[in-house]
Amino acid sequence: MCAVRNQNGRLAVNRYVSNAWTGWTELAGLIGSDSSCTERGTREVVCAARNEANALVFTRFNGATWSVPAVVGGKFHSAPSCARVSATKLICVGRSATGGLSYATYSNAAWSAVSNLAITGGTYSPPSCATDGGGGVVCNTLNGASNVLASRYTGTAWQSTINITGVASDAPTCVRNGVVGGALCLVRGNLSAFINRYNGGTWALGSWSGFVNLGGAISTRVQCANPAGGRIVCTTLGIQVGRRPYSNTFNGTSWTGWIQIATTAAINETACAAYDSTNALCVFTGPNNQLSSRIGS
Amino acid sequence: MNIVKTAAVAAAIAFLSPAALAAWSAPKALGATTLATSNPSCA
Repeated sequence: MCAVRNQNGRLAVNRYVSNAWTGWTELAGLIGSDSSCTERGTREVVCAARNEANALVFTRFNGATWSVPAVVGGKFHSAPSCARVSATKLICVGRSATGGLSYATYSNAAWSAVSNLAITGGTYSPPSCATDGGGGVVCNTLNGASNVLASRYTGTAWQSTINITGVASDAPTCVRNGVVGGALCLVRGNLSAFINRYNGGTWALGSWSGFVNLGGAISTRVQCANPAGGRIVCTTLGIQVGRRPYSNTFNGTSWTGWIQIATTAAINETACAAYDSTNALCVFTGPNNQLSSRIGS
Repeated sequence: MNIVKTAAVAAAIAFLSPAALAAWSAPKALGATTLATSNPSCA
């Protein structure tokens, strides 16, 4: 399941079923940001974005059809990042009007009111959030010094935000890392990708691994999926002329290193979702603004 | 992670190899009716 803002300013969605794309469906209403899609229950996907009034809007795929996009509310000053809390609950998080985080939870069929989480010193990038697989959600964002800030939603409340250091040159991304209660987050530092793992336990700087350099010379945020267990498949674009897609896969023990996976040029960020227990399905945008997908790891 | 020599990281990124290509499927188009005006998202 993939979504993108289309040439009409609307959310377009497409499903990959039985080895083929079903075709684009354009949903009603204008959006003004990237969308964020996340699985919640079985065969259930929710995609959210901000609309032209900066309010959070969402659509839900119930296994058969998409709901008409509806307004949740609030004032989001970045694209939202949504992550699964449980089979019946998810959370969407974005920058707030005052530089903190705005968030709303979607439990069963009801959204909470949009609330704000103050961040000392403010946030300077959109957040990226990932489920920890244990009823919580971990988010990363940047402060004014481009250090990475980590926030954790326990399922009912936010724990204190931690400066996990580093100096990033792009907004972070987070993905489930297969450890219940944990997450893996990535940033681009200069041109390389750096990872930092939280493997659960006490919510403190010392519970993060510290940044590890994955190398590479990359031009966009790294986007990852967690097919199963500790396996993580990541993609991004290189820095060469006509930027090419690269992948880097963690098999639970080690990373493959960056491997070029296509000879065709790409623009924008990549996006990935788990496809089976080994592979991810990732989409790439061509210079003609059309999307194509590849499956692999 | 603050400063990394560009030349060093440029050397670290692998060049295309047939084995690498084989690990990923051929591309499948999602359809020409949608032209992206944002980053995509998948789930």
